[in-house]
Amino acid sequence: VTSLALPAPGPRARPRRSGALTALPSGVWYLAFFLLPLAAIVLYSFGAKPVGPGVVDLSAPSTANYSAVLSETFTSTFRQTVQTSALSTVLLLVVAFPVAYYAATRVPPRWRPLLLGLIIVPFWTSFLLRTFAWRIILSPLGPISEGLDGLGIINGPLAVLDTRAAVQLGLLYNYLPLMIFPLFVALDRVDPSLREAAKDLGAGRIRTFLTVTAPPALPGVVAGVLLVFIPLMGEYVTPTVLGGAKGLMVGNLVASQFLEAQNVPLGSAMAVVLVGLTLAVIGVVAGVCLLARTLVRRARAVELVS
Amino acid sequence: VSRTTPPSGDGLRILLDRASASRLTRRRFLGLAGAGALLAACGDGGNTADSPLGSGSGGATDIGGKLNIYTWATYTDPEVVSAFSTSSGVQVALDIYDSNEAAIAKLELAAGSSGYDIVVPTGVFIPQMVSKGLLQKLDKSKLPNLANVDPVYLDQPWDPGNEYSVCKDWGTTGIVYDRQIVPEPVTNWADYLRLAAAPKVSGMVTALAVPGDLTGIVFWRDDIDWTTTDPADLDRAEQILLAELVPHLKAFDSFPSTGMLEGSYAMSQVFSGDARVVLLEDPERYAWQLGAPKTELWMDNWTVTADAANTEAAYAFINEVLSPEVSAREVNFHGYNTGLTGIEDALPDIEQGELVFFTDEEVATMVPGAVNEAQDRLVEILNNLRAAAGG
Repeated sequence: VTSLALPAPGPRARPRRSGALTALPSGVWYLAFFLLPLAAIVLYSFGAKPVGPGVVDLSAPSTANYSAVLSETFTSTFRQTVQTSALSTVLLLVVAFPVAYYAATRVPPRWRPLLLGLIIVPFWTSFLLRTFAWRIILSPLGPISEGLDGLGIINGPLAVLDTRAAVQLGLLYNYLPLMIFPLFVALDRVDPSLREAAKDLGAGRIRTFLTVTAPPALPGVVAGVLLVFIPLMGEYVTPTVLGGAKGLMVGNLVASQFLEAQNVPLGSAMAVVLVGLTLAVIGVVAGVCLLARTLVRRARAVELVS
Repeated sequence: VSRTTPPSGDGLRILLDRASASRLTRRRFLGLAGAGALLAACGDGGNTADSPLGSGSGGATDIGGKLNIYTWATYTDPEVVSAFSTSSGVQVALDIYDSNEAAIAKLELAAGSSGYDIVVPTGVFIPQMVSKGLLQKLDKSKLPNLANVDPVYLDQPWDPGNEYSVCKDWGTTGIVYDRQIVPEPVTNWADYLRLAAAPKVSGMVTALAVPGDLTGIVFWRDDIDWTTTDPADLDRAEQILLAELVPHLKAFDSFPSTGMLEGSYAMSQVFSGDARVVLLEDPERYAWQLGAPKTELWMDNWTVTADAANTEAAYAFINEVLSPEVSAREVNFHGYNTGLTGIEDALPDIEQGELVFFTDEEVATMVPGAVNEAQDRLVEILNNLRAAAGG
């Protein structure tokens, strides 16, 4: 049933030689600025901090850095980072979906560019400045704190800054457009006549949403989730500005190993573990989703031949 | 203000009044009622930018180009910078670090292409930077104002003969706290650790994000040499900080004045000049205590990087800030003793002067630090404490 909404795939064109040629610039770019540095990081992670000058001592490769990373000192930060990123992703989905749905289905097409433009307006300001602005908004001596205190909603000054909650708030704010846009694009592609047809055939609002509107949006959900979850795992700016000592994330640990400690090998090992952990979380979630989809399909399967 | 004659007492005072009037801290900025006040403040800054500050030192004319200074936060008066830019045609950019370790790592990782011309390291880190080839020898013929520096602050053990560095200023470390929250006066490091657990204070305490200063809290409290390399001392300090400080810590913040004034912090380990920023705002509400029984003595220094692209501008700038007028302005701005001969006498009316010029008895309790084989362990302790505080 769902395939109705999707355009029929055309005859697949054979990849031609010129295709490889057009991919060359981006290929070189990724090789030089992504794969090679990543390989260097992996290599460094098996080295040791040099006694003399230099960045890394690779004369006696070992897994000592990985033992250090997986020690009790740092694992709690990794756990907190996964928790914060996962919770942020879920919150982003919950907040972004109604916005994207509203923009794609309820707003007349001529107003959509304006609405989407407004969503993107904050991006005209630097990420760092927008994050710092929250320090002013959430300040214990700021207007919100005094307003809430005056109304008796909180007792005493607002104590959100320099906590994990402040980090969560900052992340939600900073990444929201990244979640709204893929959802909007996916929902926008659903032909409105399908919803009308569902209505004409007697489906209620909820049923129309669940069986007609939502399924084609799933690729948008997957894109949005990946688009926010991966950078969230490596976040550094938001916890630095809003988190204080309590809001620490792995990105902060990596930065302090590279900068303060001048311990590039240990920082590299942390970075490699972070990449692995991110892939593992995505893998597990993808596996669970695929399993759920298979089960749902099986349950819904219509016996055509009895 | 005269262009050519050395500063008379009156001229200096006029300068300082204006400097303090235009000082726009973040709290005042937040409290500004309307655009009118904001415009007035900007206008004030604009006027002083035209003052002939730089001309007294001479030489800084039409150098041009860019000058990138890598320094600590709120450490150079923006009006001094803009006056220098006006007189020399040099575009000055400031970049900020919050620990020597971070600055050195960045310079080292950049491997000769950092882009910075001037760096302001703490003295004890200079030998390490010299051995890593990060600094260049100073051409003192381009620094005639070096003669203004009190010999007490020259020829320090970390750079005999001032081959690579000139004193920028020196200061110390103590505690600043909010009297409305902290239930009793803080008199020493023991009080700082004890009162961190007090109700309302707990969770609103900060410590410097500087490795040696963190363990210093324990060593100064217990009168142990804070340059110790004994692993047992270091382990013990880490355990004490983990048990007594980390559970109550809100942030590792090398410049806690902003957080204190925005009401986020109740008690902070702090550099003396940063504490002065807090006390200038509200001397009734906030209090300063010099670290006791012992505390540190640090001296930050002007240095020129080995890969500096605009050495001429670098020398001109350093020479300019070593002139008495500019130096007095700097002291008033950052609140640290610049070590120029007669600087204390030139500033009799400086606000919160007891945080700038210390008595002999106070200086006797201040101990210079060291960069030794314990350094890696100290950094490791900071990072362990960070991880523990975040978990």
